[in-house]
Amino acid sequence: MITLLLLNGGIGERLGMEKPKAIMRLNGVPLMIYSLHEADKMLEISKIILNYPDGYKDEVESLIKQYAIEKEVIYVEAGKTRQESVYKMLEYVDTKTVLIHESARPNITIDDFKQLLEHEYHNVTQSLPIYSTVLEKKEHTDYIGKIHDRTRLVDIQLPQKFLLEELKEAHNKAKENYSEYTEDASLMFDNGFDVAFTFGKVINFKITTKDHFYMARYLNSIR
Amino acid sequence: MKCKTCCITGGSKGIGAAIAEKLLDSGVQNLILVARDSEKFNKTLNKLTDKKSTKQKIIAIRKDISVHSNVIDLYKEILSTGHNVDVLVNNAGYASPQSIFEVDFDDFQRTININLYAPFLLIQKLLQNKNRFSHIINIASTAGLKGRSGWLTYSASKAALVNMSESLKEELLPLGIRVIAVCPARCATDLRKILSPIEEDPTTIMQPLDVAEVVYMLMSNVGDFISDNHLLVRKT
Repeated sequence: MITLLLLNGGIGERLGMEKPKAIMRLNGVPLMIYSLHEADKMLEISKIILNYPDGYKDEVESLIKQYAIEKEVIYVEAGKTRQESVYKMLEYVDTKTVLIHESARPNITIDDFKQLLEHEYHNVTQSLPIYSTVLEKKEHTDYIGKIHDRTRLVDIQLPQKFLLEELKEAHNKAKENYSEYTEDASLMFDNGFDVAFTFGKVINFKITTKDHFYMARYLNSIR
Repeated sequence: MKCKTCCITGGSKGIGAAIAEKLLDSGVQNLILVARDSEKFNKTLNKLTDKKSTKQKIIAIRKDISVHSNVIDLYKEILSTGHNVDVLVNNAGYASPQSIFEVDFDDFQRTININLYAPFLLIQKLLQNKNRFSHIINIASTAGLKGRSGWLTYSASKAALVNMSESLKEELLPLGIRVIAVCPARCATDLRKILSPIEEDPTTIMQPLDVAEVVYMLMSNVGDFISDNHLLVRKT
């Protein structure tokens, strides 16, 4: 069995939201519910650990109840950073393997979870090829300084799968070194663990801007 | 202008206030404005009073039409003004967009009370008391033409209003009463702010006054040539 960590800490500043992104309604349904409904279909997931933004425990709990989420859900207050949130959530995991996903990607399907579980590597992240040209700018200028070979780059996405013991060890090392990472594949890699990548789907994009929101709203009204 | 007396519900702001303004500009004699008692309603009334000519009359009725007995009181008050309502604009609307998992039954009832039962009662009671309308204009919504995820109570109430308008159109045709449902798409009103989960620039979408122009057109001679059961009003 596996545990799903569902990250909900985002505030949604770029969407002009006053409330946390996870409870923002997409076609009337809170964003986090889309991922939870998919997780509910996965027999292999025994438990979901969900972090809630400060002050929103009651609201999040009540939504989980109203939307009749079947899996056991454990609530953990979000940390100051995403890394701290994951670190706090790991304490409640009692399975060998964890999946990490975030509510801001409501177009996840059970196939995405399965793809990771069936992958031969223990530590795997979803990713996408880089479809556009990537250039690096010259430091402190608006000029182009360097061309990157995009065929050697990957765009890291969620969900991800990790071995609990290794992820914990990587987090502890990162904490000792005061190193901050924006997601866990980088954290694992930088602290000495191999992480494989596999390509996911573009449709599982993260809602960050208003344009993403409109795209998601449209996609979810025709699917 | 053919219409001497027009009654508008939900007249404190948005589309209702815009229709009131448009009709005053166009020379309506008596304007009966209905809304809940609020600071906003007072402000709108002050603005309209400043605008009106000495011959024009504005009658304000402060009522919360989510309550059945208030609608009964309302029609009696309208009758007591002594004016025959030529045009009734059922504009008052309520929305609380939630999915089936979250919506309260009480809230669904409130939605139906305001968006469907209040217009029904007002039309029925005025007709039964010998009021002779020239037009009944029901402000519905594009949400009433197609159900939308997360808007189910609002969509259902507006769909019912569209349908009721179609039935009324046929029933009242022999009396020479024209009935039409106006279905605005997104329009810069307070209701829109509730329906849209993320902030949008209200200046980029349809304005209440645009809808008011269409409503005015329906009341004019041109309106006699609009034979649709409902009229979709959308900025293209």
